[in-house]
Parts: sequence; C-alpha cells; structure tokens
Amino acid sequence: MGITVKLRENQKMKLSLFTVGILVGLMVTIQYTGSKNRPVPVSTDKLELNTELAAQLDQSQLLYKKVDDLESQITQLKLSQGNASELRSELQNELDQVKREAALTSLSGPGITMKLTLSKSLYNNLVVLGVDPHSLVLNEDQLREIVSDLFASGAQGIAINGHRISSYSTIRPIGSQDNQEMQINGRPVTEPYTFQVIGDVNKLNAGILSYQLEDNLHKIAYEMTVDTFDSETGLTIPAYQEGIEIKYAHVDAQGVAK
Amino acid sequence: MILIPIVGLLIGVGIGLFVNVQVPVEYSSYLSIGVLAALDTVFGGIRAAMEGHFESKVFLSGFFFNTLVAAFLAYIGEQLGVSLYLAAVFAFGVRLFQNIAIIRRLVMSRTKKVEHE
Repeated sequence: MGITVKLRENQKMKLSLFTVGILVGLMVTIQYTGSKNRPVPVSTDKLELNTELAAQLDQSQLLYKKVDDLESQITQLKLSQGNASELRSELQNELDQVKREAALTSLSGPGITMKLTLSKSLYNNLVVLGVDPHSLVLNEDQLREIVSDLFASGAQGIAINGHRISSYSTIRPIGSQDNQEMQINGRPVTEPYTFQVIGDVNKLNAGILSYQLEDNLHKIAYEMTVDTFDSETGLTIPAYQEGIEIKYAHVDAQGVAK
Repeated sequence: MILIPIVGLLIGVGIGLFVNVQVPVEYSSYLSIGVLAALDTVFGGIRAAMEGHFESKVFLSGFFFNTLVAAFLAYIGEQLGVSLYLAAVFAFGVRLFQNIAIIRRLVMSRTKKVEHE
C-alpha cells in the first residue's frame, strides 16, 4: 500500500515538474521573442539622454549637409541640362543661318521676278539695222553680270528658272554657237530666263534702273518684265539642290571669319 | 530528476516558438517577473524532490500563486509609482540562487556517494 502511494506520488511529482517545465519554457519563449521584436526602450537618465540627443543632433546635421550636397548636385545637373539645351538651340540657330547663307534652304519673302524674253520684233528690227544676229544672244557673261548686279542691289537669294544661285553655282553655255543653250548648276536652261529675287523690293528696282539692265537687254533683243511681290511671304525660291562635297579642301583655323 | 523539468522546458520552448504568441508591450514587464517566479518555483521543486519532501499540491500552487502574485506586485507598484517589482526580483533572485546552490551540493554529494559505492 505504502509503495503504491509512493509510486503515485513519484508520478505526480514527475508530471508536475514536467508540466511546470513546459509552462516555464513557454513563458520564457514568449518573453524572449516578444523582447526581441520590441523597440529599444528610451533611457530616462538625463546624462544618457543628453548624450543621445547630442549624437542625434550630430547625425541630423550630417544628414542636413548630405541633403544640401545632394540638392546642390541636383541644381547643378538642372543648370547643366539647361545650358546644354540652350547651347543646342544656339548651335541650331547658327547652323540654320549658315545653311541660309550657303543657299541650302529655301527662302521666302518680298522680292521681284524678272522675266527675260527674246523679242522677235526687237530682233528683226536690230537685224534690219545691220546688227550681227550672232551677237543677239544672252550669253553666260551677261547672265552672271545680271546676277552680280542683283546681289549688289541687296538680293538675299536668287534663282534662275528655279535653280538657286549659290557660291558653288555654275552658269555656262553648252551646245554650238548657232544653237546655244545655258546650263545652270549643271542643268539645261533655255530662254525665257526667269529670275526670282528675294530682297528689298525698292532697292532691287533701283538697282535694275541704275545698272540699266533693261537698256542693255534691249540691245540684244531681249525684253524684261518685272513683277513685284511686296508681302512677307510673297516669293519663295528653292534651296540649292546639288550636293556639295568638300574633298580636297580643309578649314584653315586661322582663317575662320569672326 | 533534473531531466524531467529540462525536457518539459524544451518542449515548452518548442511550443512557444511554434505557436509564436505575442504579448503586448505593456504586459511584458509582468511576464518577466512571472518568469522569474516560475523559475524559482521550478528550482525549488527540483530541490524538494531531491531532498525527498516534494509535494505536488504545494509545488503547483506555489508555481501559479508566486507567478501571479509577482505579476500583481509589479502591476500595483506601477500604479503606485513604487518599484515593487524589485522586491519580487530580489526575493526570487536570492531564493533562486540558494536553491541552485543546494541542488549543486546535492548533486555533488550524490555523485560522491555513487563513486564511494
């Protein structure tokens, strides 16, 4: 009987220790996992708080400095971006201007058209008067002279029969003396010759008068008809169509015009 | 004898990790005092078992009572603005070390006895 009671007591003891062990283990784990996830408690000690505050202030100053640095970097980047776009537009403007001056763009503006036509009546009259018919020709020199006169009168752009005159343009005769044709920019051009000229209309008309273009043309049996286009987009002349290939020349850095 | 509560402790730890119960922050201080009280009871129980005067009722009641009273003392202390939990920490801490020392001595004397035999 005593042994049975003792055994039962022993079992109870083991069971109690085991159960309490489980409970303690559970409590310890809950406390441990809970404290691990818990934020670090703030100290109430004045000295500690002051030290922590000083450290935080230092940290915040460092962060502010970093923010300032980053902001200045952003500003610099923005500025450099702005400068780049400004520079790009400036370069584009310059390029456009160079293209305009090189006659590589079509032009519109006020100007005049001059149509030079061989007049049969004038021709016959001159022949009757004893002028050599072979001399009654509008040759390349005369065409070049007219172009020069027009440029001298303030022409900004000239096209002859739709062929733009640039510094690379050629005006030369092709064919025989009896059956002569003109070639402008390598393209055949025949009479009548129509000059499209953009520029100050008054200056151009004054130039035509002063260079006596009409009188000179009458001498070779040519008539001249001038039409004026005053409005801003009155006249449009095409761009120089032929390609420009600079192969054997190079830019002399000292000779660049300012 | 010592192995039984250690196995229980390990099982309890396993359950705690598996279940992952979270105690709100405001109650964690009570739980820590409760843990201390529970540990004191466990070591006291081990000591009593080794000395041969273990009583399950006393042990279990002591475990729950001490744990709850310790947590309650901590709560009351917080309400009154007095660090009453320190009393529990001190009392249980001292007793814990006393029990551990006695258990150590008992284990050592038993080992010596076994060696003599």
